[in-house]
Amino acid sequence: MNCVQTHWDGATWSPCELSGLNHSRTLVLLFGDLPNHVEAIQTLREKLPESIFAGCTTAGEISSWGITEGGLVATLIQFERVDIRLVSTQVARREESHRAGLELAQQLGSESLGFIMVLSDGMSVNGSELTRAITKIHPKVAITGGLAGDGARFEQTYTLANDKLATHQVVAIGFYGAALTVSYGSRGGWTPFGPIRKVTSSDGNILKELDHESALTVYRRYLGEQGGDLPAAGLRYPLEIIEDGKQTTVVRTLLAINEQDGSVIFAGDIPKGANARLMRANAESLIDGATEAAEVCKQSEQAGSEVAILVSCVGRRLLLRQLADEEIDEVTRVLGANTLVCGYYSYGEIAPFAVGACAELHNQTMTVTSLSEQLSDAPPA
Amino acid sequence: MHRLLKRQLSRYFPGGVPESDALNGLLQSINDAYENFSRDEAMLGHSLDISSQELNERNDTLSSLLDALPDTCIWVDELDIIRDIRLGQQLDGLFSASDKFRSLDEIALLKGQHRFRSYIINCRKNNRPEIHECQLMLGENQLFIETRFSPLKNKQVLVVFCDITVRKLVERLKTTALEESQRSGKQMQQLINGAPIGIMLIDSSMNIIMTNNCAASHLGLQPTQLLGRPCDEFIDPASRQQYLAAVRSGFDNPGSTCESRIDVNMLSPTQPSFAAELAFSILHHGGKTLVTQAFIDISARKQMERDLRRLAQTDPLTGVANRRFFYSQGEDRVRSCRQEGMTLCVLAMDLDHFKQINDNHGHATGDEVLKSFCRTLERLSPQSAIIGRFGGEEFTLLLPGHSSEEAQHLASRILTELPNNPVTTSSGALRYTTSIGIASLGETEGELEALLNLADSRLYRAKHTGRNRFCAAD
Repeated sequence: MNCVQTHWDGATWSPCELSGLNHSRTLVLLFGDLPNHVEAIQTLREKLPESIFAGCTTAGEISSWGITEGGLVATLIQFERVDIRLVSTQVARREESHRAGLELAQQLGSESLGFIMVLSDGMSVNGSELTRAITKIHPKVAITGGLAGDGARFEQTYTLANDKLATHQVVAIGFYGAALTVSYGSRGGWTPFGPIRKVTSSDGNILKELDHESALTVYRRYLGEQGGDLPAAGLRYPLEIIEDGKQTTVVRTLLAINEQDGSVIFAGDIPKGANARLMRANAESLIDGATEAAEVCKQSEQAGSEVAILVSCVGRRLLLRQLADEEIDEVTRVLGANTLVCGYYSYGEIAPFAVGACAELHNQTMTVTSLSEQLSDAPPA
Repeated sequence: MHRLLKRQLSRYFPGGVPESDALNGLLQSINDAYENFSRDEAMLGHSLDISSQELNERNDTLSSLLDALPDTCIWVDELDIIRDIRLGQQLDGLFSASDKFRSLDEIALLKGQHRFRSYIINCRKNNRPEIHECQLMLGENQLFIETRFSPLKNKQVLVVFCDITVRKLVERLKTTALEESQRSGKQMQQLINGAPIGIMLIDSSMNIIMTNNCAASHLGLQPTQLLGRPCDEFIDPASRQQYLAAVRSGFDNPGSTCESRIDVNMLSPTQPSFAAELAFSILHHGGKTLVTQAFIDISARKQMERDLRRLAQTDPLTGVANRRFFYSQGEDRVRSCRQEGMTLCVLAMDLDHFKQINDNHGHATGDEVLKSFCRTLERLSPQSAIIGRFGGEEFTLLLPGHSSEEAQHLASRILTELPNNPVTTSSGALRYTTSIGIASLGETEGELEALLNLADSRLYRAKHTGRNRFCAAD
């Protein structure tokens, strides 16, 4: 595996020496302000016409240079033995998310499939349903990824599938062959507080009522006068969703609000009848969460990772502010200096909570996926 | 600028902050961080205040709910001290407000209640609820109490006392009533088991709820195999309607004591069906109205009746109708044919030289001839014909609905067939003939007797003109 990272400095790609990387086994991951850098993407594409291009807009790019915003970072991962394949589909309406997941999963096939990375539109896709559909077809395949971001605006997100940069698009990259080793970890660092409330009215990812009270009223009450404007301010208080009969809980972050009916739109499903609790965090607990995610990932690594894809939630960045780089530094420290980090701040993270479990959509987590390639048939030491 | 940063700057730079882009940038970042931390702290404080307020409201609601419950409860700490008491609407006087903060050992009501203490210990040890019933004396009243022990944090236990005295008394009464009913049912079962006739008790759903060995043995089943089955399952379908009406009338008139009886064919899954006489009566047992169905197998009686009837109506040697039965049947036919304008004929027959057959071959051969003759008549005659033996070798054949021509045609066939059906004797085949006189209804206005006389006169004419022939109207 050969990994190179480059960023657009406004005029050129820096560093610009990418010779020998133009190959069908080279994956180019592009994170950043894609719609405003179409020419930059085209320049890179001309250099790497054989390679596979995938990417998305973000709420901040993560790279070996730290966190940047509004720029464009490309991470080139060249495999020697692992085949890669990109598929994509359009999702015109949220209700089509499950169908899109099934379609992508089927297109990828299952022969030698070892890992699926998913990059989805962040505003128009129901990430829970999308993930559920893909895990339904490939229950034993590792699946991680995330939803695209749009700064803290929550307006429009884009994904890139080779030449096609589009909204309402979901991209899935299949990694094939036994030479690939993948490990992952996903943790938040959030703590539930206050009373447990029943979700008394909801529809998919739209939360209407908690304990028969308008969800928007509950959020407004908690944010108070200093809370700032919703929906961005609502990222301070994600919801922990506890469903009967499920061992693990999921965290849901707020995406948008509806003033007319007092509902709140989340980045994943809020099942009616589930118990919900507001969560809070501080900079230290979030950084601890990121560290734990990296440690979980590191524990399941069979060999030293060569590249790590970090997908962290926009809510964390808004809360961490100047300390956001700390969580990236912590992850980098745990993974080791030989691991190249790339990734982005997202509107949702896709990963299993534990090794062997099915992938789910998470919010407010740091999700770390590390990749390495075995160069001989001998098992890793 | 943040108050704290302003204070720090004034301390470290009393003469003013030196101009430096780097220092200004740093101060800006520090100021942002202070502002953000302050805002975060304020928001956290606010959210925790709201949260506490909400939790307090919920606590108040739960407290009100507990107060509204009829049960009495005590909150016992890890040292068995009562931390709180809620006096429910029930069990007034079980505890008083002054028992609060007392040890369980000091509560007179619980003194000597070792089990009560062991339940608390178990609840703490297993960390799961325990539910038990106990009896307590409150003044002169014995109370039945259901106690629920729920583990709380730090080895504390919530004990809820629910008065179940009324429920227990009702249960006791129900148990007594049930035992009485079972005893009475057992006695009834013994009673009907001893009966020599089949007995079934039928409930208002028309199902068999009790039966005896005699009934089961008649139906080829075990008594338990009959229970719960529809009562009409063992009745011939042809009689079911009548049977069900008889059973229903019992339930429709539960006050009536009148019994009813019907004869039906009963069916058995393992044995041939049999005729039975059923008697129904009403029985009130255990608060329910039941129909008692007693039955006896009357197959033998019915067979005897059939045999007697046959003996009274037929000639024992030949099996055809005797004179009396022939007359009673014949008169009916004559009357109905006259009323309906139908034809009818009579054939009077007398075997030729029968005395010689008896003399030459013996009476046994003569009897065989008579029987053979009757079988020939039965074979050739239409279904509606009545064959009668009037004595000796004299026979009569009544043909309702047949014309004189048809009667003559039949007579002709009889004469033709007889030589072809000889009687076998030790000396070889014995052939015989008969003479026949024919009279038809239109020839006389009289009854059967007149018609027979007319046929007889023609029989004699046939005899006198050479035998082995028939004579009819000229």
